[in-house]
Amino acid sequence: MSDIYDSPEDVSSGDIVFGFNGNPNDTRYTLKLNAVGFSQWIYVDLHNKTLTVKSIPDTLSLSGQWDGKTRWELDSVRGARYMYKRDIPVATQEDAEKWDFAVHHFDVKTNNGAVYETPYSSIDDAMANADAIKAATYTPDEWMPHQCIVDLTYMMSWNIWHISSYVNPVITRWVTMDFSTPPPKYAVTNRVYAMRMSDGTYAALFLDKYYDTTGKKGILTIDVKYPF
Amino acid sequence: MTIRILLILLSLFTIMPVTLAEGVVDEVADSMRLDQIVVTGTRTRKLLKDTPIQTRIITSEDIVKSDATNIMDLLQHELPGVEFAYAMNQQTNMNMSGFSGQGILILLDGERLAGETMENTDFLRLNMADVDHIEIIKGAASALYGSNAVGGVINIITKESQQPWMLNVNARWADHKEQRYGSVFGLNKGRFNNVVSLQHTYIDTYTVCADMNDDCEFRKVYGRKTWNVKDRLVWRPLDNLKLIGHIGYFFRQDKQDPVIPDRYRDFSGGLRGEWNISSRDYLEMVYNFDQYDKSDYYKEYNKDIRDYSNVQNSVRALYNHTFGRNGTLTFGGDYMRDYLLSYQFEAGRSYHQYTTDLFAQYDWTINNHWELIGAGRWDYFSDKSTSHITGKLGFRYNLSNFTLRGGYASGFRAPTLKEKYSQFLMVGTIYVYGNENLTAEKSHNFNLGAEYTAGQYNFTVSANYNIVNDKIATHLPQVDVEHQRNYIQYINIKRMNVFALEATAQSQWQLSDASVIAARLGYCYTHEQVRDGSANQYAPARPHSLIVRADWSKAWTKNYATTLLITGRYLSSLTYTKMQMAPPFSLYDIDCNGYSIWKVQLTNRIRKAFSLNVALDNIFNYAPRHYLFNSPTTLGINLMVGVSIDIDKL
Repeated sequence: MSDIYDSPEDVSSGDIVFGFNGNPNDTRYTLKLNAVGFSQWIYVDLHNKTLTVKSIPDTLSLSGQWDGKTRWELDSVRGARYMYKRDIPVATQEDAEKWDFAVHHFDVKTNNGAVYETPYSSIDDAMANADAIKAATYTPDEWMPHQCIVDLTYMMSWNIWHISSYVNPVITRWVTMDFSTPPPKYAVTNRVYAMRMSDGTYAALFLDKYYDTTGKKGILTIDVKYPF
Repeated sequence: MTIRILLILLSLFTIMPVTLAEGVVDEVADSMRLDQIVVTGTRTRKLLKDTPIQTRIITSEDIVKSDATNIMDLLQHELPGVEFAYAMNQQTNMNMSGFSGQGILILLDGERLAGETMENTDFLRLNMADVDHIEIIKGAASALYGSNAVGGVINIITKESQQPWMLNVNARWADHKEQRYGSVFGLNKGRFNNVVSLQHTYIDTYTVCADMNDDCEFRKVYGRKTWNVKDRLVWRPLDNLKLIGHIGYFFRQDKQDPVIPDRYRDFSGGLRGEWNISSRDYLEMVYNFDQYDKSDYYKEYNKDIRDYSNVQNSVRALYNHTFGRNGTLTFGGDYMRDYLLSYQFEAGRSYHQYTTDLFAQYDWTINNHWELIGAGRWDYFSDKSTSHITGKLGFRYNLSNFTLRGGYASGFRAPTLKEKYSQFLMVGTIYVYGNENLTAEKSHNFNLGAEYTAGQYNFTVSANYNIVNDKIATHLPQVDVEHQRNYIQYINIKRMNVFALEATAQSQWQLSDASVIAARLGYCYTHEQVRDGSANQYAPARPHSLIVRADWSKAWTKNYATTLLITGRYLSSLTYTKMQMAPPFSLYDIDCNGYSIWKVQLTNRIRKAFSLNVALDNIFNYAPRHYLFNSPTTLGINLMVGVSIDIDKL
């Protein structure tokens, strides 16, 4: 009776290589990221195909002067409403030296870039309409206090710790987590996102999968076209 | 909303016939059924009125009239003191007269069911399509049924085809895109009898608590689809020998996680031989297989990955010998292999154990007034090599229309492999540890019941007092210093006391126009007291509950008959202590409002073959102020329309 079932891929066994899959000169390839944890940003440099991981400042990280805005904040989450409970000022997020965008679980921020959500669900379709996509209106990152989750320990009573951070509100929608009836329920847009870099180049990103077959949410498989 | 109700009521009554005609009701409501054969209380076939063990029965007619899809729909409308509530992540927990699903043994044709979630069986697999009747025993019954019969037994008896052939197709539609499609095909030819049933159900996800400022315990009711197919073949090679084979498949997919939906499957099969060796001797041999799986369907990978499987293979032999006219000796034994693979074990491990038992019972009819029954059973579990002895003593006293039943029975629930060996992170917040040193939960049940039948009137009153020692539960959260994490662990808590008092009155009247009215009123008082030291994840029983059921059946013409059914259930308010499921895991009191839900259903039988069913559930448009785990999941009035066609009667 077990024949009707499949076997899970074991991400820890080395079957899956995180990072850029394909030849070094490919302009279209798959990017696989382990963004399961909430304690790090993974910085992606599409120009040089490199990844850099930087930890998110923890609650004991502030030793010097506070930047006046980066904080951990505990909120009672009621749908789109966040009722403040308490906060802890923390150190400023340290970014990678070279990067184009960064991923924290499902959150995405850009390095002074901007993003447009295309109506397409494949890179091929997006490429066929590249001119129109590049001419669209792009949205830059915003300072968001309630987007980047850092601690879900208290979610069953609808209390969630966030860290305030710059986040791109458009591409971050590619996966949304609904906490109205915990544990969270996930939804995806299934759209290609066009990202305009600070140097004027474009990338097309499509989140093919956001979990693995062992149930880990945050194992991201991203189809990339760069330059787009 | 008021206009909506009026329109629906109008639509219901416009299909009522306007002309009266003389006729005879085809199927007269007989809600008492004291001549019904029951088996659960004694494991021998006895008339309901003669059984020394108080047995409640939900008859075939009750099931048909109720139009219930599954056992949850049925039980909570037919019995007082039964409530189905959510626990944790919209898992269903049953409470019957103070006992949760863990303490009630549910049997299908006398056989155990594999699989559990939050220690409750999957009630959705128990559809009513091919069910003949249901027998319910309240109080411990481990002396006949072994582990889990701590607070009662529910035995679902499936049916055999009575006609040479029958084919029924039916469908029902309701709010939230709720749909039910079913078919039952029966053949009864010579020494063969076969019933195959197929049922598909679907319901969409719907939001019950849109106001995010409201402290609802759940905001959406998640939808699902189910498929259920069963076949039961009976062969009588000799007049005194009956061989029964059955197979079944159940599939359920929840809509809770639209991307990685949870799937549940059950595969079942078995063979049973019933041999009436002589008028005094009866032998029953059974092999039963039941496998209940849970899997996650990773849509984007197109992978269906199983993370839970409970497989039970069991054999049983049972022998009855009747001495003269006075006594029946029953003895037998079971042997079962119980296998469990679970995501709740470390690194996907699996465990298995063997259980075996021997039991004996003597049922002594002393004279026309007195009957005594006694039974004993020894159960052995290979895991940790434990054994348990249970027993029961009961009596029935009959004087004219009055019957008194009473007795003592013991029960136990052996710790499950899950409770012994679990180690997993529950919903991302707290670890759950098993406990290899758990001992069995043990219960003592004292019961006394009286029944009075006069003409068309029947009254019963019964009281059950239960002492449960070493109840298995989880303790309050503690810190695992070594691993720096919060955890709860299964433990034996000291004691739980449960007292339940139930009273039922029922009657039926044949009116001068040949129509029939049947009515039933049931009340249950439950007092459930758990000593401190545990974290109860389940809502306890509400103290007072009431069910009302009345139906009026009339044949207007030879080809047209109606049944108007009104059912109501009232559950009183409840305040209980609950634990926050997140740090600091503090305890708090929660107030649950009392409520009543009423349903009106009109069944139109056209010729013998067609049946049109229109029902208004929750006619008073009740909606909970706050949706708590034990609130009804209704948004208000719900129109249900169903059709049923008996093709063999066309």
